[in-house]
Amino acid sequence: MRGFVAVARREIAENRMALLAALIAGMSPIAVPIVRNFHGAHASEERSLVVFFAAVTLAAGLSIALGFSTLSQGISNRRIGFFFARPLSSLTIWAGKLTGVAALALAAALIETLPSLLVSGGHLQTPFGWSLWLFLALALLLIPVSHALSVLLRSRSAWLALDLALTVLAALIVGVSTRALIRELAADALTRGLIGLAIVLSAAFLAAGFAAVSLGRTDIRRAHRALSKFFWAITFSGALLSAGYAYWVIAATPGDLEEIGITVTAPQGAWLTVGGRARLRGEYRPNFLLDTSSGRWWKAQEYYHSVVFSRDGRQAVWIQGDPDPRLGIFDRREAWTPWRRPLELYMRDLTALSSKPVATRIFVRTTPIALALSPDGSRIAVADSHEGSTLSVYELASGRSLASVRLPYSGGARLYFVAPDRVRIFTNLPSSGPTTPGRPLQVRDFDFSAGKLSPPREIGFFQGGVLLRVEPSGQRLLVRDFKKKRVELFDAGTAERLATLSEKSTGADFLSNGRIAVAEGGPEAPRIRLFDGSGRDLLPIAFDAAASVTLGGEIAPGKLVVLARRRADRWTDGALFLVDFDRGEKRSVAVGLYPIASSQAWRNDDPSSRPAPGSDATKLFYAAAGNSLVYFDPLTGERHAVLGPHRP
Amino acid sequence: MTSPREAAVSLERLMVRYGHATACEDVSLSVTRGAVYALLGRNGAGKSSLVRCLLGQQKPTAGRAFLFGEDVWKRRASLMARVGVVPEEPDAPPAMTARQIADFCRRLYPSWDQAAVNQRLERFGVPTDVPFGKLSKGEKGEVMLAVALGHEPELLILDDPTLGLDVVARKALYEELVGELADRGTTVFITTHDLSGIEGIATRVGILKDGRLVLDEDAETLKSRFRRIRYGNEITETRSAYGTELDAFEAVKVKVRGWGVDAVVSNYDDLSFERFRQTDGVVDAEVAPMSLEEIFLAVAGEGPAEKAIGAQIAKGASR
Repeated sequence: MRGFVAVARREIAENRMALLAALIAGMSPIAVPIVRNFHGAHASEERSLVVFFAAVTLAAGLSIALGFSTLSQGISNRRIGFFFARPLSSLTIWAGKLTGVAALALAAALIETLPSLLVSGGHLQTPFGWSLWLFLALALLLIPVSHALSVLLRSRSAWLALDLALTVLAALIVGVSTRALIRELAADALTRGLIGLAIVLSAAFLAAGFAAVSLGRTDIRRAHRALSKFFWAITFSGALLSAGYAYWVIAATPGDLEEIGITVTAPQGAWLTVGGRARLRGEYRPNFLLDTSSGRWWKAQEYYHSVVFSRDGRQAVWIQGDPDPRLGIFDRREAWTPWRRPLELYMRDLTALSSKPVATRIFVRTTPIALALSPDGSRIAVADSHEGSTLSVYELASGRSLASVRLPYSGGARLYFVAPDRVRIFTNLPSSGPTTPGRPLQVRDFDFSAGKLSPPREIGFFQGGVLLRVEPSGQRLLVRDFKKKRVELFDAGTAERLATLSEKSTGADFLSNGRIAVAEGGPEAPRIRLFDGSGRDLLPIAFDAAASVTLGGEIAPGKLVVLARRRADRWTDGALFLVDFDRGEKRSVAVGLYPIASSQAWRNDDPSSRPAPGSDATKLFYAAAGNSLVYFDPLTGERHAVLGPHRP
Repeated sequence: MTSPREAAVSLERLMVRYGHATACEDVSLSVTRGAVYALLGRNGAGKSSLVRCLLGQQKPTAGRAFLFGEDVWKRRASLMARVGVVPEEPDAPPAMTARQIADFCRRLYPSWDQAAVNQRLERFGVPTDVPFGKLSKGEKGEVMLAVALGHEPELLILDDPTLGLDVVARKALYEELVGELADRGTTVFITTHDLSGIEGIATRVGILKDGRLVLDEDAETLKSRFRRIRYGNEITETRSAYGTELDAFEAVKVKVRGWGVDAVVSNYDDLSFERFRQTDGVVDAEVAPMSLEEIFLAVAGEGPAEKAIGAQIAKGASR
C-alpha cells in the first residue's frame, strides 16, 4: 500500500501544474455571463452550464493526455525501469500511476468548478439534471482507453494491423447483433447488451493495460502483444457473449411468452397471431403466427404490422420492414431512409407446413391506417397516410396495382370489400369546428374497376370513438357511440338510420343469422338483448349477480359466450356463460376466462375477418390474468392450455 | 558452476531475441555471493539486454535468470528489495530532485538509510534540489549509485555505470564501490567498458561477444593463463618444421612482425614456456603478463582472424 501511495503521489506531483491551470480556467465560467450580459437566474444557469462542460472537458482532456503518456511513454523509452528496479509489483506501478492520473484529473475538474461554486453560494445547477459525478466518472474511463491506444501507437509493430483487422471483426459481430436487436425492436435487450458490452470493454481496457505493464515492463513491443492478447480475448468473449445474448433474445418462442398481449385470430381454422413480453428479455415483445391445433409457429419479423387473415383462414397477409439482411446502404429502393426500411406486404400460405413468407412487392410508404382482404383473398385494399391519404387496391399474387385514389382526409379509415371490385370506406373525420355536434362519420364506396369514388354519405356525428360492426353480408351496420353508449343500426351503403337499439350499451354484435346481440349495463342488472335484423326487440337475458357483461364469440349459430363480471374492473373471477338465444336461456360454463373474440372486437369492422360461428377463434380465452391462452369449448367441455404456464 | 540456489546471480541458457536479431544466446553464468563479476563486451554485445533480464524488466526469449535462487521474472518485486541498480541510462523521473528521489525510495525499503544516502550525495557534491533531468551525466550516475546503495543491498547491479563519465566521476564511483565492498561484502554484477577501472576489483570476468559468453573465469586465473609471448624465428640448418613452434600453446592471437612473432596465448605455464624457448629456431623469447584490457582486446577483438579464434575459445568454454 505504501508503494501504491508513493507511486500515485509521485504521479500527481509530476503533473501538479494542471491543478493551477484548472484554477485559472475556473474563472472563465464566471466571466461568460458577465461578457454576455446575463443577470440573476439566467446568469447562474449560464455559469452552471459553462462550468459543467468545462469541468467534464478538462477531466476528459487530462485523462486522454496523461493516460497517453504516463505509462506507455515510460515503457517505450524504458524510463519505467526506475520503478521496476524497486520492490514494487507491476500492479502497484500500474494502479498507482493510473490512480494518480485519475485523482489529478478529478481534482483539476473540481478545482475548476470552485470559483463558480463560490459565486453561486455553493450550489451548481447541472444542465438537464445530469450528474456531474457521472460524467466525470465517464471521463476518467478514458484513461485506460488512452493508455491502451498509446501502447499500440508507440510500439509501431505489425500487430497494429492485426488490431485493426480485429477491431473491424469485433465491430461486425457487435454491429450484426445490435442490428438484429434493433430490427426486432428489443430496446431493453439492446440497452442491456450495450451496457454489458461497455462494461466488458472497460474491463478489457483495464486488464489489457495492466497486462501491457505487467508482461511488457520495459519492452514496448512485448507490451503491445500482451495488451492485444488480453484485450481481444476479453473483447471477443464479450462480443460473442453479447451476440449470443442477442441471438437468445430474438430466438424466443411462443412458449417464452410470459404475458400474452395482442392476439388476432383467423376467422376460420386454428391460426392466430400472438405476441407479448418474453421471459427474461425485458420489454421485448415478439410476435408469432401460431397454429393452436398443431403447435406450429412462425416468428414474425421486425416492423411487423396489421395481420389480416383471409376469410377461409388459409392465408395471412401482413406488413413488415424488409428482412433482407443486406446493409441498408446497398439498398437503393425508393422510400429508404437510414432508420426506416420500406414497408412491404407479405403473405403466407398457412396450409403448407413448409411454406415461407412471400414478399408481394407491394410497398407502402407509411404504416397503413387500414387493410382489408377481399373475401376470396386475391385482392387487398390498403389505406395509408402518405401525403394525405391514399386508398390503393392490389392483386396479391402479382403485386399489380389495380387502382388508387386520393382520399380527402388523412385520418383513420376502415375498409371492407363490399363486392369483388368495390371497397367500402368508413371515415371518422375530425370535427370541423366548435359548432358541429361532433366528428362526422361518413361512408363511401370505391368502385375500382371504374376508378370511381362515390360522394360521402353521412352516418352521423360522434363526440367520442365509435365501434363499427358490419353484418356478414356487408349490408347493415351497427354503430356504437362509446361516449353516449348508444347503439344504432344503419344501412351500410346508404347510411340510412334503421333503428336505435340501446342507450346504455357495453357492446354489440351481429349474430350469424342476422340477429343482433347488445350487451347493456347501467343502474339495473346487466343484460343481453336480442334484436332481429330490422332492430325489433326479441328478448332480454338478465345477469342479476353480475356488475357488467361482455360479449364473446358465437360458439355455434345462436349460441354466444358472455363474460359476466362480478366487478366491472376485473374479469379474473368473472363467470363465463353460454347464452342460447333460440331457447332464451343461459348457463355458467367456466370461471376466470376472457373471450379473445371480445378482446379483438375492434378489428371486426371488416365482416371478412369476423370469426365464423364455432371457429377456433370463438373458443380461445385468456386465463390467469393474461398469462396463458386456453382453448375451451363450452359445448363439449374440452379444455386445454395453448400457451402459458398450464400448457401441457 | 554454483547452483542457482547458492548463487547471487545465475543465468541458465539465456537467450534474448528482437525479431530476427539475437541480442544474446545460450548464456549461462553464475556469480557467487560476495563476488564482483565484471561482464565485458563491446557495444551491441548484448550486455544491456542481459542486465534487463537479470532485473526482471525483460522476459528472456528462452532460458531463465535467477537472483538468490529465485526466478527474477516471476519474483521481481520481492527480489528488488535486496538489489541495488545503477542503469546504463539514469532513468529517474527528470522532474524529481535527488532529495525527492531519495524520499520516494525511502518509502519503499524498510532498511533505508537516509543518512548514508545524504552523506554519499554530499560526498559526490551532487545538488539535491536540482531536477534530475538538469544534472550532468556524472551527477545522475552518482545519484543513482547513492540511491542504489541506500537500502544496503545484498546485490548491486551496475550496467556500464561509467559510460560517459569523466575521470573524476569514474574515480568517485569506483571508490564508492570499493568502500561498499570493503564494508559489507556486497555482491556486484557490473557490465563495463572501463577495464582499467574494474581490474583491481573484479573477482570474476565474463566476456560477451556477439551475444555469446566466450569467457567466464576467475580474474586471477584468467590473468595467469593469458600471456603475451614475443620471439624471433630463425632459419637453422637443423630445423625441419616452421610455424609449429606455438603448437604447445593455445594461441589466441598471432602476429608476424619484422623482428619476429608477437603472440597471445591462453594456456600459459612456465614449464611449457621453457620447452618453447628450447625449440630450434626460437630466439630471444620473452613472456609478459597481460592486463584485463589486453586480454579483452585479444578475445573480443573484431578482426577476421580474431573472430575465428574467438569461436575456437567459445568452443573451448562450452566444453
